[in-house]
Amino acid sequence: MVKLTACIVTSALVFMSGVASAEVLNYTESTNSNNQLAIGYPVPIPVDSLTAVDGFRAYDSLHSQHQSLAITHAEVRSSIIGQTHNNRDIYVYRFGDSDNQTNDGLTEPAFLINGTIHAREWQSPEVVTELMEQLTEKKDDQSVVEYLLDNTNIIILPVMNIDGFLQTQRFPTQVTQSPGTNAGSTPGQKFSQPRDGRMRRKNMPNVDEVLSTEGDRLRGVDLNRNGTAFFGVQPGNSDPDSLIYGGVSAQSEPETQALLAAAQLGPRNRLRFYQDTHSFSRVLFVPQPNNSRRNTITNSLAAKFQSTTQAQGANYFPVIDQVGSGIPTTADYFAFTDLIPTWTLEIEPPQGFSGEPNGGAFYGGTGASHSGFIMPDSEIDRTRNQLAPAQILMFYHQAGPAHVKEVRLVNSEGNDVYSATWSGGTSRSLNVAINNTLEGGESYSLYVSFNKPIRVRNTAGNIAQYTGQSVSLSPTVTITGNGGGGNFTRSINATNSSWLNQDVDGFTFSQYHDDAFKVDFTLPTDIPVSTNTGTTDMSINISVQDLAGLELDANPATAVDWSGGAWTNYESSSGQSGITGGTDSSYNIKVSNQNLTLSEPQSSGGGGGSVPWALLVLLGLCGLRRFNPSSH
Amino acid sequence: MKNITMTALYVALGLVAFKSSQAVERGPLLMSEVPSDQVYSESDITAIKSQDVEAHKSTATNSLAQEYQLYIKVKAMVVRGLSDEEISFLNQASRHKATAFQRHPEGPIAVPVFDVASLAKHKLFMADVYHQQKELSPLLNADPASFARMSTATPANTQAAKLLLEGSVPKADGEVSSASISSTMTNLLVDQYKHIDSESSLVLLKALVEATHNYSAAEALLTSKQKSPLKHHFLENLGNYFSDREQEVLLKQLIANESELASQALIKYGQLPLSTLDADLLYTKLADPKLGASSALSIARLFETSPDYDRVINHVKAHQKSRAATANSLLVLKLADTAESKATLQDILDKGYLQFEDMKVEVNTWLN
Repeated sequence: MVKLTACIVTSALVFMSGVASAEVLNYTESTNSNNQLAIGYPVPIPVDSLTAVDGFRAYDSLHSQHQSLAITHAEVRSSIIGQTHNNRDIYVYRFGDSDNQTNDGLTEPAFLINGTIHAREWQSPEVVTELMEQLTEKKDDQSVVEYLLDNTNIIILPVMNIDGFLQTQRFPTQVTQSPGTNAGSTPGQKFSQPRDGRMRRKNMPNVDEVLSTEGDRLRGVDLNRNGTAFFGVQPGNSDPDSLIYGGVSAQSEPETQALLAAAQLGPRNRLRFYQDTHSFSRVLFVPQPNNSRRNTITNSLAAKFQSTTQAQGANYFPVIDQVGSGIPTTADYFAFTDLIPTWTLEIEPPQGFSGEPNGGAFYGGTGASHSGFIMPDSEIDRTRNQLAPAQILMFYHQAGPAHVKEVRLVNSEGNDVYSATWSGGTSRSLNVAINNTLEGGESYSLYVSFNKPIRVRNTAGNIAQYTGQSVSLSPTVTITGNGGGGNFTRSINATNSSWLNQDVDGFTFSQYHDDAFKVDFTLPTDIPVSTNTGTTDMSINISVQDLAGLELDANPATAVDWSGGAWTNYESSSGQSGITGGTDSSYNIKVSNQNLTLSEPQSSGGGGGSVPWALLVLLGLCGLRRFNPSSH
Repeated sequence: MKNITMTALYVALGLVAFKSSQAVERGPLLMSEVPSDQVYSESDITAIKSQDVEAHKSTATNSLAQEYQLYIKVKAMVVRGLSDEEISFLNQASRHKATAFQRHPEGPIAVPVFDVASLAKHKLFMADVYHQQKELSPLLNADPASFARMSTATPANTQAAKLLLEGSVPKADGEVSSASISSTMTNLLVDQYKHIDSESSLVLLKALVEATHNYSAAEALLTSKQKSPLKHHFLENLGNYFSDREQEVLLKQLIANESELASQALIKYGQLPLSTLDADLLYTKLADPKLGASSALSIARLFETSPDYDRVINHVKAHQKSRAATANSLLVLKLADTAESKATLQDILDKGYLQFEDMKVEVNTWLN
């Protein structure tokens, strides 16, 4: 009787709930069985720690850390941009000062970083949080980060799919059997396509948080297939049970709507870069809309990102999409809609690289299916630190090319003989406060400052490349003109030690370390002039590459911006607006002809060394004697 | 025969290790680079996996079926007592190059469907582990110093020793389970592993403490200078092994050391029973620029059972000039996320206890 009653009650409960149980499976370090799968290393569990650990932090800890950054640092502001299906607040964080203006008075550009769109990709929130942490830790670096905070608006959404992420952390070692399998299936079949628990990818509409519930484990929308661009183009996008189900309509999900709200904080029309942060594969998937200039800039940017990671022992390889094609990812959406550089960053482990094990096998694991989503705890700290500098370089690049702010020439007595500064917003004017006559053969100091830090230093304090980059470290300065004796070009010998991060003989950096250089030189006398009276107009020509290899805006009079997929008002040496920049020749000085060389026209020549210099002067004097009309 | 087998195993492992260290210059395999007859859809893959393995033996006509058959064969191999032929087979399989691919869901790269090579490498490794287990087993009680030295010599030895210490391996002739480790032997091993202080010794200290609940082993593990995820894992489950009082002592030590475990230790500390923990410690740490936020989370969680909003207000009032103390006090109230905590935040704003303008802006954002 007791047994019968129990049976009836149990049957009634099952009937009432209408819920069947899915088999719960476990990932283990080294045990295989009918419901266990060895991955070959300890299976990570979420750790309650606000500070970064050798491992993966629990969502509550990550969220608390984000909130801590926002209340502790004036440079960080939080906003709620929506709620998940299960009514959890989705937070975004803005990094930068509160004035939304650059130091030049222009509206700041904005960058958007999205994290944790797919629940099981635990690498993503860690990498994004590390970026947030470094932006605050280095906020007073007087270098790249301080420049970014002063002049840009960095928007970071660290965890978009909170419901799903929590579900994966609730069951860090457990999943449910793959669709179509049952208790009699082989372990390989059961673990083939696990969909809930640790391997949940989608969001959680009408999904309870009980792992074994059979009826809801396939539910949810792939938030990276819910965009308007290319919506529904993949076969699985319209199948609600599919891993890549795109939802009933584009942007139908509260989480994707929150991402759009995050973009509005840029504001949207100021966005210049978008990254969606995923794992795994160790690549960048780089969308290519039909805009060649945008694609050229984006692909160059991706190569620089790769170089930064290569220099640290990783190799995030850019995989360039076919032009005009795409799938409904958020990276495609922003690429095609906003015409800005975007990509999907797939954090390691690698996948598909010849000669490198895939997924968890990259770390010596068994290579079990889906193990790439389970990065060993011991690898995430290195990964976080490898990717932060690459992302910061992207911001620095997309903040825009540098332009000259100030040019000064000071004579050996410490007096300014030339002083010019650019002022104004989108249209600038060059204010020349002093323009005295210079003398050939006299010593001068040339000081030039820029609107952004141009160089960084290594731990020894020496000028160095930004991680993985290869740019010209030295500024290039020439003096050109035509004194009636023909065109001439003379070089001023600037080196990488010309950059300033402290006071040198009364000259120092402007706002950020190494945003200015000072070079001492002797004004050449071997400049051909047709008369020894009066003055010759000359130009000072300045060329530098910034940390990311961008050339100067050759004409600071029109401020560089971004529109239609490319830079605007970014002039080359010849004054043409384009995407490459060039040499700024805006600085006109007067030099007395008295000490210059009365000679036949010369097209060019070198400056610098003292011995060749003296020889040229001697030759010049000879020429002067030979052709002096009064001697005939 | 045994020697020949083990030689074959070592040669195989050496080849595997060499293979894994090759640098890679090129990018991933693109879909466009893979012959179309080697690319399979999700439904192809599901179909092949759902079939009876035996069926493939006669119908393995495409590369997907062939690879699946090979994968299943490797997976089914029992690593204890592998023959020379089996080691040779695994060695060959460890160099297998994939011939069945699917498209990556996010972009145009080709991903191997089965990773036969990695599975074979792991089988070889585990074969070595089981061999080393036999070597180590007799030493466990007889010669702890040699056991400690050998167990940290190679990854396979460490794994073997760990399995022995965990007692997770079914007993067989000559094998020893953790249950047979005496406390004297445990203490000797703890001393040895403390002295060695390597990643391997941490693995074994953790196995020891999990098996024996030995306090000294836990202390040695958690206070080691080595950084390791194992320490975080262990700390996460500290309550499984020690009394509240023992935990309190260990956690206070970690907090005082300000090690990489300090944030986690502070949060764990707040989870101790109210009768055990010292709330003053948590409030004192609110002024710590590095650990104050962890303390805030810890206090916020305490508020779920015993809120003390007045104490937070008083803390703000008493530390009005300290950015860290003020920010973390506010954070307590934000993370508590109750009607009372919001009212307290509003109160702090209204009564002018908050001196920092940027914090006022952020708190207003929280409240609106």
